[in-house]
Amino acid sequence: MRRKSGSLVPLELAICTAAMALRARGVEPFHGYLIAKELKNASDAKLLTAYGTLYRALGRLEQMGLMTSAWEDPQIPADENRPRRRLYAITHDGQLAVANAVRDDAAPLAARRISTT
Amino acid sequence: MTPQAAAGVARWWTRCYTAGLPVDLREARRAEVESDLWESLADGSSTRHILARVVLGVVDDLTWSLTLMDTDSRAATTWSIGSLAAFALAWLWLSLAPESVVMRESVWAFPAVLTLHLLGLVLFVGMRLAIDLRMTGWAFGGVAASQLVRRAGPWSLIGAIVTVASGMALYSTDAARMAANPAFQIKIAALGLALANAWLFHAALGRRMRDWDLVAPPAAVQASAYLSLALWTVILVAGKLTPFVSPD
Repeated sequence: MRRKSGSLVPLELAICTAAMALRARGVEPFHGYLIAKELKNASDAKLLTAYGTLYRALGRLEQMGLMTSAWEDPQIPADENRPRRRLYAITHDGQLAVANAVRDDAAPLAARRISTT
Repeated sequence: MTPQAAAGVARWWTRCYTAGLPVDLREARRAEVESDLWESLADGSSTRHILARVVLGVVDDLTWSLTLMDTDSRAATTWSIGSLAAFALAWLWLSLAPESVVMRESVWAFPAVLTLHLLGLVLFVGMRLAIDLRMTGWAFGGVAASQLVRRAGPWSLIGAIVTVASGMALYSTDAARMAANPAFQIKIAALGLALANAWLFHAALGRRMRDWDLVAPPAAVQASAYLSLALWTVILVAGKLTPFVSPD
């Protein structure tokens, strides 16, 4: 999909929105699987996000400054006997980007509503 | 298939497409997928769920990996994927139309394709021979290995594609008899091994070529070159014997 300058492709927007939903529930930072699960539950068709697609998009969002990530302290997974997690968090810019996208999406809809009344 | 086995498939695929990447990117992606798989299994994800997440991401994985590879790895991977796709298409075509009417009835088609097959073979084996002789240390000692591979490699691959494509057209003239011919079976088995060996050289063994560019290559590279020389000898001899060996 061709990207308009400064805009988010639908998957990136969906990831940021899912990140904000997790944040609102007090789940932050979060790992990739939680985002994948949130995306699946949020879509009506229970769509799956592939491993490669998800982590590539998360990488792009990090480069754009909309997400940050850090590998957790190695002691924690060692104690819990599981692989190390890469933990993501949405930045202030990421939250603004979601708000702008929602506003841009809502504006044409509002205009249509006004014109039909 | 159990979810654990599906996770094994996901791990294997991740190892494949990250193989040519710089260490930090490779390890980061593998660790991230490993963590995702662990969480997924702990959460009770089904086999279908895990496999679907692998399959849906294949194109993204390959394009991501190709954009991040160094030039040599990208060239090797592109050639590998291109050749595999070409062979898969040729195989599909043969399995759908095993007997070629054009090749059997035209006066010129068979000799023309046979000539093309021989020219392709000369190009393929000739270039391959030069690379193998350099890798064994028998010849071209003063030539940088990376230069030789960079210049001869693409010609060798073009020769391989011409040889295999024309070989399949020749095979289609009498597929049943050819398939039952022991000499032809030996030739095809040796060809499969030789191609796998060439791929292994380009994808793995030859990746640190600049470390031994002007000196003797490591033992594994030399072994691969000797194996290549032996396999090409078998292929040429078995190919020449094919018309003289009865399938019965």
